[in-house]
Amino acid sequence: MIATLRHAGWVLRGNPVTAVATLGAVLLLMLAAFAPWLMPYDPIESDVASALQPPSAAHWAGTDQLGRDILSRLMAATRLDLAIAASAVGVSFVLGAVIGSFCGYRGGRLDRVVGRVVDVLMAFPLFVLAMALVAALGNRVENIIIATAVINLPFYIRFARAEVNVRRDAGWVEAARAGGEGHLSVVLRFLLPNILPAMAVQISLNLGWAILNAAGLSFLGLGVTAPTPEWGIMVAEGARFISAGQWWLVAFPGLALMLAVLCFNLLGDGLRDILDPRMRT
Amino acid sequence: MSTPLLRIEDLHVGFSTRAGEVKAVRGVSLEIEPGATLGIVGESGSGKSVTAYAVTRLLDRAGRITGGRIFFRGRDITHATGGDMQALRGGAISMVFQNPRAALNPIRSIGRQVMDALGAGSGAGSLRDQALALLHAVLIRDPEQRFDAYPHEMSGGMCQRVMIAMAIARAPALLIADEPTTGLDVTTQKTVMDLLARLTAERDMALILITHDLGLAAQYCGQVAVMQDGEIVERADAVTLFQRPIHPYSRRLVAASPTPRSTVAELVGEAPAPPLTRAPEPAGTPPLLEVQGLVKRYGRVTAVDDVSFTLRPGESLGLVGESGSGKSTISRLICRLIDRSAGDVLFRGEDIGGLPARDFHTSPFRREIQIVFQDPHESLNPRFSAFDSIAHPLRRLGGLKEGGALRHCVEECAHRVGLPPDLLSRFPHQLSGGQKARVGIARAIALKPRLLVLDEPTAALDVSVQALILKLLDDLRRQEDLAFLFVSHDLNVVRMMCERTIVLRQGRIVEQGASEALFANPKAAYTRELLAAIPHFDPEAALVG
Repeated sequence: MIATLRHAGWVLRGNPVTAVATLGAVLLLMLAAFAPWLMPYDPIESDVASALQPPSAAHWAGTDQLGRDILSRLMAATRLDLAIAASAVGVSFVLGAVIGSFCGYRGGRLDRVVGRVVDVLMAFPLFVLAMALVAALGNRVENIIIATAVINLPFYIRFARAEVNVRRDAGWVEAARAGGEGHLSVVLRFLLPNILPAMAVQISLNLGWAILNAAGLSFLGLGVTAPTPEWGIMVAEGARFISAGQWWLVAFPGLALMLAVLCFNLLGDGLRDILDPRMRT
Repeated sequence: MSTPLLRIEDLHVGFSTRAGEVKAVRGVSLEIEPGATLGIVGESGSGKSVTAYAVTRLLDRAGRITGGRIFFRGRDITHATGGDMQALRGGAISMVFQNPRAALNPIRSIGRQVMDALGAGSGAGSLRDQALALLHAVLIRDPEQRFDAYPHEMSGGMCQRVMIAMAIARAPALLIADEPTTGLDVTTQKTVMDLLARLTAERDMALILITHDLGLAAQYCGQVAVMQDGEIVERADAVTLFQRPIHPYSRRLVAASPTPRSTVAELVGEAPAPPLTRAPEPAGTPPLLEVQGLVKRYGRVTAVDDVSFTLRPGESLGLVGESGSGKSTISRLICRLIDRSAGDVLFRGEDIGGLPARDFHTSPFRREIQIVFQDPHESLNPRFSAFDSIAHPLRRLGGLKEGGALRHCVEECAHRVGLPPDLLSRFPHQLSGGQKARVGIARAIALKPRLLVLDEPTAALDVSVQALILKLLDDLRRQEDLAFLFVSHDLNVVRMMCERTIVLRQGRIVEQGASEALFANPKAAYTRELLAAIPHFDPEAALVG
């Protein structure tokens, strides 16, 4: 554990961009975790008297058309958006890694059938598919998670399949079998841990994309509904006021979205260097 | 006094790495006259290839020449510009690389690539005719027909001939061959080396042969330089080097190179072990392993075709053959990692061939049959420490849980294979090749199996490490009454390690018998061909010749 941390420190020192991204991601996660205690105001309760106030000492990011504090709403939204993105990516990672690994290891008919299904899924315009899924299943947070997981799944299956495929004939896989492992445990206990570093990069890139996807769905009115604070809805609602010069309604949620996506995208490469034991000396 | 073709003075090459600068070449000086042959011999990491790459300035980005000077035809090219070097490379200096398949462009026909190497028209005849003449010169049959073939349609040996044709296309004065036959079969190696030697002699080219194989260098080169840790420790003509090596390292290297007469003990400079004597088995004991009519087909290809043999307890049997002979497939069939197509595998008289490979890990025989793999690096899980690699079979099949008993067992295994206990916490990439080989062997013997299948256990190791590992395996067999099925392409190694030998070709047994008799008096023509192709150097014969 200490060795891992020391190694992580070494990677981050040599790569300031990753260090900044890591710091940003950690801050976002802390913000999400502690949002209920950090919020200066209630994010839902409206206060019409102080509606549409520009950023000030009392309201750092201003207030919206119902007088709600935008900063508080942003914090609450961080919690929701990260939770949606993380659970969607988690579901597609677990399913994708397992399905993809077995296909890559077994090959043959299973691999061909799954491969074609994945091809068909990927042929759809993914965002439209997600919209259709949410529309069909209903406007609920769980359904945004399901839709986002489904459209991410093909990438994980392909990725895991390819990574396992190049390793399945390696000597250490045969050695594991000679040491008494069956095929199932070879895949789960030997191959999966070995493809994790590569998959971590995929996860990190994907998190940003999943946040964008969840916000996009809400922006279009599919998914999270008002008054729940969510970056996508906040942008959609604030857009009406931008022509009146009330820019803070859109700018802050937009900025939050952009920074979150950027952090997770930049984190990817550094994460691989940290997780791969071969990068250590 | 004539100027030498190439003179290197006190060359230093450094590589910048995470741990600071690593000095790969430390003060190498050598020279080569026009038309001469020089072998540079050394083990991995000795700096032999880096020296050659420094001369041609093909060092990768992290490496640079930190000192010394290189003269070509008396001209200092140490700091020549990129353009000048480009003109020299191919024109005056050319190289043949290790992996011919990787060095050829896969999407361009071989004839075209030779034409590319010829460059803008020079000499008589069209480019195509010149290319055909070159392909003819490197003994490609039907060059007209082969002209439009792509690299993947040709064997490794053929690809290397095409590489040689490209290297000599513009009649260079110096040809540098970097491990030109590594990865090729022994018979192919002989034809490629003979071709290289003949062409350089005919065309009055100087040849620098970089190799890990001392026998090969001595056989084909007038002078041999031995490199260790970035320095040339000894340079002499081949006969002197073999008969009176001066430097302790070259002495060790000469001793460790297997010859048709050496024994395992001699390789590491010890007295030969007494021949193994076994108590006679009680009558009616079934053989340890009995293979009858074993067949393995992949689609329409038959990899193993009707192979039968037996192995008694404690016996060592060698399987010899070139690539495609089915020897690795047989080793995996017997280890029950893959399923047979037909035939029987009996272990102690019980049929184990009928159990599907997918269920064999539950069989009580799983722990009795273990395997050591070819590439020690590739056979260790990158995420397992040495301890975990050795402990794995003990946990799974030995029923040992975490704790003192397991640690004790793993340490004992490490001790049996001569692995220092403080290395147990390291990961594969932190171990040397020899150490990784020891981990692989410790893992295989951890459960005290009765049959150990060794699939080219030393093919990926340096010759001095090979000597130590062979000695270790031989000792283990003597002490623990292990039976060996020893798979190898190296006939000298099999002769030393095995009491009986089977020669395989294209999945069929060509010849089998007691090793000494088989090597002294081979009956099949193929066996004779194999034996003749082993590169070896006989100083006395060279003197007479």
